[in-house]
Amino acid sequence: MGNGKKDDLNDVPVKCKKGLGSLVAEVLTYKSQVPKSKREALPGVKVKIAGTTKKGDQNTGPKGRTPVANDLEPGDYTVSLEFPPNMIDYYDVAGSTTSDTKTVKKGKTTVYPFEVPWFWVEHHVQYDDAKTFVPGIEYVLRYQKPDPPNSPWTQRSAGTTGLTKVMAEKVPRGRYKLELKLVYDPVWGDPQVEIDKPIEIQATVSGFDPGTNGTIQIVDLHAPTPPLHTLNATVTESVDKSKRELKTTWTPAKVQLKDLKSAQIAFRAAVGNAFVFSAPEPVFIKEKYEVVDGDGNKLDTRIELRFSGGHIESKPVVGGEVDVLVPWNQVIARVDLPDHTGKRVALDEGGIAGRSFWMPA
Amino acid sequence: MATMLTIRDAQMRVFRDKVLQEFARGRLRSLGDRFPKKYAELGEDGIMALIDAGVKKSFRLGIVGEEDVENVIDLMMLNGEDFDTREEFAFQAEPLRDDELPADARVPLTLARFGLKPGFHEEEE
Repeated sequence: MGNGKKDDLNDVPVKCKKGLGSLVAEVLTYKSQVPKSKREALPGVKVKIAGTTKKGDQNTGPKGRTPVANDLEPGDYTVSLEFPPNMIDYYDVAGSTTSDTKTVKKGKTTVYPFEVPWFWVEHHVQYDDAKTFVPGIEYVLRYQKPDPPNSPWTQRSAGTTGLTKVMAEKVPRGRYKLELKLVYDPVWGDPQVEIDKPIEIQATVSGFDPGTNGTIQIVDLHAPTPPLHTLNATVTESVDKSKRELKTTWTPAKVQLKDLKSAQIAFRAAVGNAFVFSAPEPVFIKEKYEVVDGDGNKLDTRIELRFSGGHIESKPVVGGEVDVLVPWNQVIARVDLPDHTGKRVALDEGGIAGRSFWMPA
Repeated sequence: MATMLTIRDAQMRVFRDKVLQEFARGRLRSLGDRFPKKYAELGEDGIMALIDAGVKKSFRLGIVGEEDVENVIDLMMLNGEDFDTREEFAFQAEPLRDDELPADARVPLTLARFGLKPGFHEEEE
């Protein structure tokens, strides 16, 4: 054997060997970065043999092996692998030995084993403790080809998170990102909702493509179903393309909130099965009040209104008129005119007749 | 005048047995160095029995090269005497019984399928 070892332990006198040698190549694959993972045969790889005796190219078969190349004149032979285009992205060809030179000896078979690992990705979603899995969230796995640069992201797979890691074996090289299909971070455009005044409503979206339809339901804080009003919206990309949003502008009308029992609403932004509820917002109706004295003269003064829900409005009165934001479903509980203490003020509001308040001096 | 030397079968057997005894002694030392845990577990007698079983298994498979027989015994130390027939190693052991392969190619290909190189150690398991 050339290494001091006997050719045949079972038949000590050496047989007369034919003066030619042979070689066989085998291509195996395994999970990259897991060197002890189980090997698999890799068929369909072209194998080139270069040496004294000319041999045509061969392909690895189902067992990952080439047929045995026989009748080789002894000498050095280089065996090189060539991967077809449909395989080259799935295996770490660049990081593997794909060419080897060995000496083929007479009467011997020289073996050329090659290993080319496959690419894979795994993903999972866990809580901050990095131990507990978060199940039941839909996701989409996106993929970006390495060439050309800035290739578009495409959807590779989709599913729902479970209680184990998700493994994708033999995937093409490139960049991957996992997007959870979520709607989150709901934001009202103003701190309060006013009837007939447009207000911006938005929520951040992940995992859904721009153009995906969604809904924004306006709900009574104390009775979220059925919704008071439903708005349709589509997922859009923010101007700086840093995030995706479900966004609309709503002009609330009194009739849309006719079934609102409490004074506060929230919105439920939903895309697919993902949704989020916003924080509550108070609803106001802008009312114009006339402020006149006993002789009907329009006053320039200051008025302070206390509503049945505890809200207080303090505003200047100009030319006998004042615009007041009245909380939804509330009535005025008390009126004060700080510039007219010691007098009685009569109130005609909310369909309640005959109310008046004494303003102490 | 040349004289023809004839080796009788009995003489051949004695010669072969001596070679195998030398081989076994060499294996015993090597296995003790490379598989200390398994060596301690089986003891010298157990290891000698395993070497004997390894030689017989190799010959049954048509594997006769000294280095190949050594590697078969090493694989038995690592994965059990019956590694070549166990379902879990079906892929790795496939070359051992592939009639299309020359006998001297079978063990190197089997080692490659286990991800091992000749002379591997216990801790590579």
